[in-house]
Amino acid sequence: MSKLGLIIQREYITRVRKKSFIIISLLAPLGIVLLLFLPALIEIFGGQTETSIAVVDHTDYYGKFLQTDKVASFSNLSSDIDESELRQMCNTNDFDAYMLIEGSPKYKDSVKIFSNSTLTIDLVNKIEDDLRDGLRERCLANYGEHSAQLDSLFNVVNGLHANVATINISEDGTDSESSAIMGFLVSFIVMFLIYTFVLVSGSMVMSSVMEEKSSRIIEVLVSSVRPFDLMMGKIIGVALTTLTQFAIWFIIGGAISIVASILAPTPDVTELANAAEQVDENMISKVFQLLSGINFIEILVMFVIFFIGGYLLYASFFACIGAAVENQSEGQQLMLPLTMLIIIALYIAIYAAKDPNGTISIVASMIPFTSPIVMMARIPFGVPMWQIVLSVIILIGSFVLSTWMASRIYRIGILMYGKKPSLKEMWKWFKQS
Amino acid sequence: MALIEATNIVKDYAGHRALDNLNINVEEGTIYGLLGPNGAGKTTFIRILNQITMPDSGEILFDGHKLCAQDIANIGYLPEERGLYKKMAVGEQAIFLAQLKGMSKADAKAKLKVWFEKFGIADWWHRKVEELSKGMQQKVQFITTVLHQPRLLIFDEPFSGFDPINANLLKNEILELRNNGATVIFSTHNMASVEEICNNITLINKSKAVLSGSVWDVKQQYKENMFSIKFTGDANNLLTDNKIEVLENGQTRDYQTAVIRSKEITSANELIRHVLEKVDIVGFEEKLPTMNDIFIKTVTKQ
Repeated sequence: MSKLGLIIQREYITRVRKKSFIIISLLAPLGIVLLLFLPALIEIFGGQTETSIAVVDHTDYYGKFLQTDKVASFSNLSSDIDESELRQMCNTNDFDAYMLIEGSPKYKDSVKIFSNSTLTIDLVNKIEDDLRDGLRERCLANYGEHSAQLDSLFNVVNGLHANVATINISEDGTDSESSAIMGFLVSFIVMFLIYTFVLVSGSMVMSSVMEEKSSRIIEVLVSSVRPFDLMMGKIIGVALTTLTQFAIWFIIGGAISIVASILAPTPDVTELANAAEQVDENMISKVFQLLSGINFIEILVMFVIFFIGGYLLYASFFACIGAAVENQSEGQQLMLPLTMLIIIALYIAIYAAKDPNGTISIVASMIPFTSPIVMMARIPFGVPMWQIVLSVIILIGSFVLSTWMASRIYRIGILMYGKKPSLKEMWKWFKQS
Repeated sequence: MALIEATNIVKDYAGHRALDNLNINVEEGTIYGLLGPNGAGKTTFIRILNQITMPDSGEILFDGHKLCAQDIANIGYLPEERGLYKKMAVGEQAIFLAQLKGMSKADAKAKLKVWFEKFGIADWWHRKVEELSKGMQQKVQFITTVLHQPRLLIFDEPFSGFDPINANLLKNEILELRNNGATVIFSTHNMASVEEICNNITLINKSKAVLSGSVWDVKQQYKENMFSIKFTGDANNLLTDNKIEVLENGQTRDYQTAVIRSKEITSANELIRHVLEKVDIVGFEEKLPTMNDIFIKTVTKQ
């Protein structure tokens, strides 16, 4: 086996065998599932405490629209009750709050709630919604016999939604229906994948280099292997580790969703038929049509290219930092500019997902430090081929340059002990080697 | 025949010359001592031999050909700053390092087992390095340095950090390797070990070779014609002799002692002949300077 192969193998095997790797690989999907269900679980197990509210309705109208549910229970009291008495009731915990309705809720300060502790937004929203129903009914009542018709009219109007189909024109004449939402979704997923991968793997490369330096095994290694091979071996080994982790997640995720679909109770056939009726005709085929509007092959190919390119570009810088410093905290300081760059790229990419053809988006998808993330955010919306090609060429050129530069700094840095070098010193190393 | 011929090696670091026209020839099958104070340039030279850094100018021949990447497999290097992967199992790690030197996995494993038995660390094969004592780690490092049976072994301060028992073990192993045909270069501050095991030395000070040759020749070069004698008879015969200077004299129960410096006569034989006429000699020994004396004298003189 070549020496580069040996380095990759060692890096990969020691990482994959680590307990932490195995635990994260297996538990992370479970964690994500848990996170997805967390709100529901909280709803079920946490529940919300019911707030009991005493209502004194001077209008003798709006009070009846307040519906008791699991969030709040309302008790209408007679309007001649004294406010100090109400206060007393709250203090003795007969009620959690009391509410005075002194006029139409559309006027400020005509409805007030007094409580010992601050009320939740959910509760306030619920009360406002209930009172709004009252306002609506009062409005409609003015139209006498037409009020029922108007009521249904408003319901229809509120439910109105305009649809626009977006169709991508392609050169070969096969137009495809696309969806901005779908594009946005795919673009986000891809962009975050690259972002996470670069950041996580990059810092893994850094600490791996640092480990060899601080354990002083490095001098033996460089007497047997070219520093460049050592650095590349590390970068590739770490990438394979992370990709393995992704693959495991993917498989576990797939398995979970298959198991879930089997275990989930099969809905009643008639219920299904009813549901199908409600769903816009051919909704499902529509989703597939929209998905096919996005060119997944193109996205996948581009993803691999930008993924690898972006990773190599950043990883070589991380390796450089690892070579320059001797402990984690020194590394963190030098890492900051790199992390900032990646975060900036992410911000631009989020913007680019909304405005894929804006000037900033286009420029940022050419600059190598931001292009892997930003270009991936744009691609689901369709990017002219020349832009993609140009961006890839710039990226490849940049990582060739950056790995070359990094290997020069690396080979000096790994043998330098003592104080943390400044950027100026690192530049000196670069010129020296 | 010389295994290593280094001629006119120059290495500059930013604003600082680390090696200045260094010439070193290391004969095959000998132990070569590289001496010098800290920062003299020894490690730089060793790194150049290991092709970790390249010289700015000058040439190194390995066994007659220009030193190249293939020679890595023929060199074993134990650096002064040495370590192992802490989290990796000992045996696995040793195999990895051997493979980097070009050995096959099976070969490395078989040979490692033999060495591990020899050094009494076979039970630790599956343990992580961080569980080993420092002494055991040093044994592992030594084994990985010599395992691939390189023709040239380079030890940078091999004894530092070793306890006396392990240091002795190491010394004997080095001598045995030499006896089996290996060439050894070793850099050290430990002058006693230099006298004991080195054939030839070079003393580097401030980037330059200031002294080189066989240990015997160097000592001869620095000798001051001092002799210690044991004798019976009249000590005044010596004290009044103007051809010698008596530096110290004393008396034991049976005989007298003196340390003398010869002023004119340089041959030991002639001096004995001369002194024999004055007193009756019981014992006679030339006092050669120790390497330690020579080291201090040379370095402080500059």
